Amino acid sequence: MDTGGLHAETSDAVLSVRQLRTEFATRHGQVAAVSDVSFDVRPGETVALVGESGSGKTVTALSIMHLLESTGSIAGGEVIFEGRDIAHLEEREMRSLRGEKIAMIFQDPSTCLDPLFTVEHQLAEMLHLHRDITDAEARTRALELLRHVGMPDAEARLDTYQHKLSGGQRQRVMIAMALALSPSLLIADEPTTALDVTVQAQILDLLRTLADETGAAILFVTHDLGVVAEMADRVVVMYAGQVIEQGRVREVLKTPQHPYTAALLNSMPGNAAMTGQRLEAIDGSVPSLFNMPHACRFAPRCKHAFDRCTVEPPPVHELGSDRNARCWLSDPSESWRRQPAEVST
Amino acid sequence: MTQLIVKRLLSGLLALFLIATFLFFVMRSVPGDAIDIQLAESGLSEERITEVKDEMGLNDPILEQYADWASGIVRLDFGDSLVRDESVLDIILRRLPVTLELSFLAIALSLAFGPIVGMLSAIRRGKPSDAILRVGSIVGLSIPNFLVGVLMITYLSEWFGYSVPIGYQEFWESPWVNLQQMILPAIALALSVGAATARMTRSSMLEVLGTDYIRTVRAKGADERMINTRHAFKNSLIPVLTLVGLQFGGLLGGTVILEAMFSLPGLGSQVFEAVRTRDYPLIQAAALVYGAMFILVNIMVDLAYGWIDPRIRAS
Repeated sequence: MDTGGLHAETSDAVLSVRQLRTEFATRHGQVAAVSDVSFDVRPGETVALVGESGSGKTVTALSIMHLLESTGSIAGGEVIFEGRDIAHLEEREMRSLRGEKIAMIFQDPSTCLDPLFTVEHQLAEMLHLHRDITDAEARTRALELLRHVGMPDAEARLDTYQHKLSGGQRQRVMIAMALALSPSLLIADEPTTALDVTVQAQILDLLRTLADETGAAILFVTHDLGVVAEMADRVVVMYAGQVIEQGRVREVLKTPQHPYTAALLNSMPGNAAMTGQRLEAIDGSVPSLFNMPHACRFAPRCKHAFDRCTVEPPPVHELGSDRNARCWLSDPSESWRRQPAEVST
Repeated sequence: MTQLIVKRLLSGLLALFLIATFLFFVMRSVPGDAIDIQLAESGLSEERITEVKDEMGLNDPILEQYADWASGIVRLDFGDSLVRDESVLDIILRRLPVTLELSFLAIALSLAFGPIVGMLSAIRRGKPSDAILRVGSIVGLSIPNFLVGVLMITYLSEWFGYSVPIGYQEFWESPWVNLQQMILPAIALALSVGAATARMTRSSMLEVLGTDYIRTVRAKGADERMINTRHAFKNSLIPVLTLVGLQFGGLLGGTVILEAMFSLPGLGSQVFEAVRTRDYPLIQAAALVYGAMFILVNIMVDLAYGWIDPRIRAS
């Protein structure tokens, strides 16, 4: 019954995650932080991975990169990158993909650069790792890259250390590094969350421009639906380790099919402010990994939940091209189907 | 950075002054002076003893003695030994090189092994080799260095019939003999410092390996060796340096016993002797020299910080 998501249009996708399951070893046994996650990222496309903290979006991103901490591992599913399953790829082969084909930038740029090495060293390192070039060539290229990401006074910045840079500048260095080898996929894990609002906009602009130029696809992990609307072509909404809805950004934000997506939209400050409504918090909290509701994981917090929701896990209902939702209410064939949520837009 | 060094030098001088003053008064509050001890069994008359003491200034008011001594130091005049017929400065200049060689050899040995062992231990965390290295470093930390000295002397001769050449040779006279005489006490001294640095490197390296910037290096496609040796190791050395500076004090203390044990004519064995004979000027001057060495090493540690860490270099 559970098809695990999108129909099999994997051939044109740069990344296809299929029924990914990632587990962590804990004192209380194996626990799945991510289960049954499926989505596609096509070339040049920006896909947003959205959810509250603890929804498994970062774990999903780290699983793709094989950068999970040592207690975590991929326990099931496939991660098909450029046509081959890399879910269980050997570390040696994975290394040649990282940086070269799949690059990643992280949430807090202030802790992501090595404090003891210059900006040049860290940029050049990326180049040396995957290309056979001289130090002088690497320096020239590093300078180009810095200029390209709009680093003010780029030449002088080459020889500085991260503690001399602002948060925005550090993230620019990270972006320069990530895009140095024109990867086909850039994973950006909350890249603007730790930055000032004004800087956020600049960094988002930069990412969009560069992605357009290089043709890199972006998997954009965020909790901010405002950023999603601005950045992404498609959105994948995660809740408690599962994808609960996905589709084109405009459609999902306008007519959410899953009550959780709707609730998330209603809890956005921007939305409420525009319509003069009270901000609606989602009651309750994300269930613990150790105590997952066995049917619908959102049911305990859902305003529209009915008896079936707590008994039988809802399947992923396909709702036209690129659109699906994991909710009983979104089943197109059911006669008792109700409109899930009114989104105040 | 220069400012930091100047500040350290000034506070070092202040510390030296306090050490000297403290020691001056403490030594003089210990019953019996050099003459009492030397002449106790010589049968000389009380009058003669008092005369000798007067000549040497031992009967002057204590503050006056202190003023004399302190004003001498400024001119690098530490006075004459009360026991040997030699100026204190000459004795120190003759003896100090041996102690310097021993302590720097010991530090070099511990730095050659400690951090590397700590790094390997951290990389192999939880594996048997990690366990062995950790137990080894606890053993190294807990065995007193003089015991290591005794054990080495005993078992090298028992099992291999080897004994350290007798009769101290300076390095440029006979490097091979000198090294044989130096290496065993140096190992004994290096063991605890090396073990302490190994433990510190391990814990600091484990912490560094969990940081975001190491994840960044991994995300670039770097292999574990490069992550460990280039990025993690360098970052993990910062707290280790502080520790080495502090441990150096204990190491200097250890040289006193080990020089005596291995018959090395260093400052340590001389101090050992001087305390016994209440040779005040010599003890005081030696304490100053030890203090100065400790302070200098810690200034070197500060310089090394700056060399490793650009954040410190800038401030």
